[in-house]
Amino acid sequence: MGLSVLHAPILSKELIEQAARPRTYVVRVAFAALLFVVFIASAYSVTRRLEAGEAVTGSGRGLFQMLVLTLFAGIVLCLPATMSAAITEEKERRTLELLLLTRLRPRHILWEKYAGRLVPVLMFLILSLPLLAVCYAFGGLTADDLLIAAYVLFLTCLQVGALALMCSAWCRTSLSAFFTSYALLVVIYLLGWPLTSSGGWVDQTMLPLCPYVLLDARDFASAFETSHLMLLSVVFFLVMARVFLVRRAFVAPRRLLVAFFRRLDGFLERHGLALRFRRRRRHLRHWEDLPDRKPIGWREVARKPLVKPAHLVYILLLLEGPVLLFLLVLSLSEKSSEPGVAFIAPRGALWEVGTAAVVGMSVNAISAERSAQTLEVLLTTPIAGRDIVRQKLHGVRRVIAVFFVPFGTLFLAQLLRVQEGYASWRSSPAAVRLSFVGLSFLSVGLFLWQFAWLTMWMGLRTRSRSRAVVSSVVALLVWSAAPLLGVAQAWSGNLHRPSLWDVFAPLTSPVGCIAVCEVFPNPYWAEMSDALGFLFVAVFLHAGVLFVFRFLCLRRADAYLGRARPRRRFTSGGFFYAPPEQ
Amino acid sequence: MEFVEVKNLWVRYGKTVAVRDLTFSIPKGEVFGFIGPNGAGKTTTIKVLATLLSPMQGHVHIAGVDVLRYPERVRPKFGYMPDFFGVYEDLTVKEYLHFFAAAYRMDRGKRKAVVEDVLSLTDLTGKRDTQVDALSRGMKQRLGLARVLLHDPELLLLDEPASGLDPRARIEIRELLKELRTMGKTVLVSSHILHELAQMCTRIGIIEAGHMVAEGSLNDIYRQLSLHRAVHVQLANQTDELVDKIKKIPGVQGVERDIDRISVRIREEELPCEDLLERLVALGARVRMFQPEAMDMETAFMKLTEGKVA
Repeated sequence: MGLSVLHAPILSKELIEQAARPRTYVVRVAFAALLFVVFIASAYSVTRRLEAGEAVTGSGRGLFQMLVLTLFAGIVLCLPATMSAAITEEKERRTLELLLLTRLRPRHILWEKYAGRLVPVLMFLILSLPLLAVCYAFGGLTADDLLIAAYVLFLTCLQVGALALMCSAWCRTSLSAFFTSYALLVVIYLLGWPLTSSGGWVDQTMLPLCPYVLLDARDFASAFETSHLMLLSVVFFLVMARVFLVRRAFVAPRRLLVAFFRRLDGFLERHGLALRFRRRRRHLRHWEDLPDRKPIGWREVARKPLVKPAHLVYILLLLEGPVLLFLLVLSLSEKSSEPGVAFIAPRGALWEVGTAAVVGMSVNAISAERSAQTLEVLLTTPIAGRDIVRQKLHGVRRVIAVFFVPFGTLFLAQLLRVQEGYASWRSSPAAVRLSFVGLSFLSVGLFLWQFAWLTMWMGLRTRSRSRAVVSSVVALLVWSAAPLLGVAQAWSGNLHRPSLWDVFAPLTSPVGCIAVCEVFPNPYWAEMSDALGFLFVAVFLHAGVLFVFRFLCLRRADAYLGRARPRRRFTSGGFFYAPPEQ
Repeated sequence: MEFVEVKNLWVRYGKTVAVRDLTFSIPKGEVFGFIGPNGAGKTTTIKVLATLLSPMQGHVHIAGVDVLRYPERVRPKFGYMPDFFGVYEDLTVKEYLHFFAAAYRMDRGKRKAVVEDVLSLTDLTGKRDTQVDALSRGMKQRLGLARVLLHDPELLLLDEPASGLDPRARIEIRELLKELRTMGKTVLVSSHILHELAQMCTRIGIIEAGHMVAEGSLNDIYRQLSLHRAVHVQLANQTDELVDKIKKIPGVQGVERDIDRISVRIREEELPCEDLLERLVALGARVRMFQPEAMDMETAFMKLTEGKVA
């Protein structure tokens, strides 16, 4: 009987599926363990004070805030990933049309999907109750604090879930819904944060959209009062999801950037402005009309949109144009005492775009073949698995080469500014200066290649395209953020004085290592120059990581791709397994 | 010499055994029809032959080469067309074929001529410069066959080549396969369309739940199953006495009366259809219609299989 008596077939199906999946329990245990570890790490300072005989009454507030922040971050990071696929996976499996043909109304489909994906998240929140009780025991908390926190977390679930559900109803694929959900969430919360600043430009009637700010409320009543706009946003997202569910149930998937480039091609072709790259040079043979020795590589660079030679030139212009504009504006602006700081933002933006492009291409390289059902045929050709993988990355190689141009422009401009601005830079040994400049250039090739091989490995190992992309993004985020957050947590908790490991740990993160490699235009470079040795070790370690993933991809290419493994040592038959009894 | 040899093949997916102790062989130049219900293990077996799947036990040889030990040596010897396959939609038909010609490391000087040949064979010459994504399903299937033929393989592994096609496209594919048979290719083709296989296959293998339940030429299988050919006869002077006489002709298994005709079941090895006609005339029957029924492969299939899956 169970949920079927509620006449909620979709909700029942969702919950039964979740209950039957081992992954549900693994994630639940992992989340509980993570929460416990974070809590223990934060509580460590309190227990140290207890051991020292100091009073700890009231210290529960700090622990409580940390716990709520962790739960809030967990909801914001995890819920869109699950909720954004709620409708799109039905579209991808072509089951949404069947659901719409039943007597279920669209709003019922939405509500059941919404509830089905919220239940596990609410279960995670319940997991934290014992820890909240411990916080309460330490003191410093009122009943209102607990109530407000519960309200904030519940509201966050509703809001983030509704937003992701709306994206799921709008988008055609789970992948686009996944990225759209996070992008919209960032936009909405970024809009919300300035609104919280007191005495700013914001009208008092405009309220922040991020529920986390409600934690500053005096009592529950004022928190509830302040949350009207957030509640309205939940209703708005759900209404929009209802509108999109039917209207966009049968839309064809669109790749906006590809469509844009196709239109651009057509426009330039009509006006005789199209770029030609045919048979100009011997070394450009891959760009010729027909493939020669490396057909997969040929297709990657000559026929794939965005990687075609003409498109690469457009991309280069799109990247280099803003960089040159930025440099022009910078040269016209007043000279700053910190000339290198202005370069941080454009460099960061370039890294983000470059990483997105490289990761998107390499993770899709194999999984796109799988989802288009073209891989099997390719695997029956005599091309070795390692060659397939290598050739698949030809396009990525060219994109990385394109990114060297804007990065190089920025680095050279930085060098000139720093040369003028920092006396300490001019007076430092040439080897140190050269090392930093060299490391800056090296970091571009090293890390973009590292991301490419890491995500290629993920794409090879994962069967579904959307899972490959999601797991690659999550892996990169965790790897980039975890070492930095770990060190920040350790320092903020004053657990101990910064040790050698504390200096080295951030360098194990690609983001940390890139930031330090390119530190020379910043005022902190002089301090970092003392750690140049560490930096070289870290760069070697990252190069090692690159080669490990490259080695795995190439060595195990055939097995990852899905070819039969050859029996080498024994005569065929009989040695693998005993046949089962009939 | 057997061109394809499969002996005691076992394949398992997790706890499910998809193929159990499968043994069959295909002599060179034969067209072997692989028949079985969904989930019988046809695609799995073809995937093992196409070096895409490792079996847990068994011997598989193509042209004398051990597929399981030397998959890289076997790949140039066969062409594989899966039941569902995609095409590179950013390429034209010509580019697609040149892509695979390069993948099979064909001599660059010969590629153009070979591509033109296979385009002509599959009747796609007029579509040479068409984008692949603009082709119809039937044309894509023909393009798949053209790709398979590019490197002139000795063996063709075709998994449901006519599935999902309209009748015209199906007939075109069938004619193409007949042409390949005349070219001397060894073909392993799986299909659900039984009467189509009956028309083009020299040998048939019926597989169910991973077992080969019958193998041989169509006549062998009918004989194995004691299936009898029915001949529909309309007589202008039909009487009970005449029908009784017909029943007594040696080689006649039985006679069934229908409204406007009789169905005579004959043991063909004893009494060929032509002889039956002679004997009827000799008995004084005035024959208005004489129609031997095509060998009923669907009956054979239903008799041999129980609808079990692996």
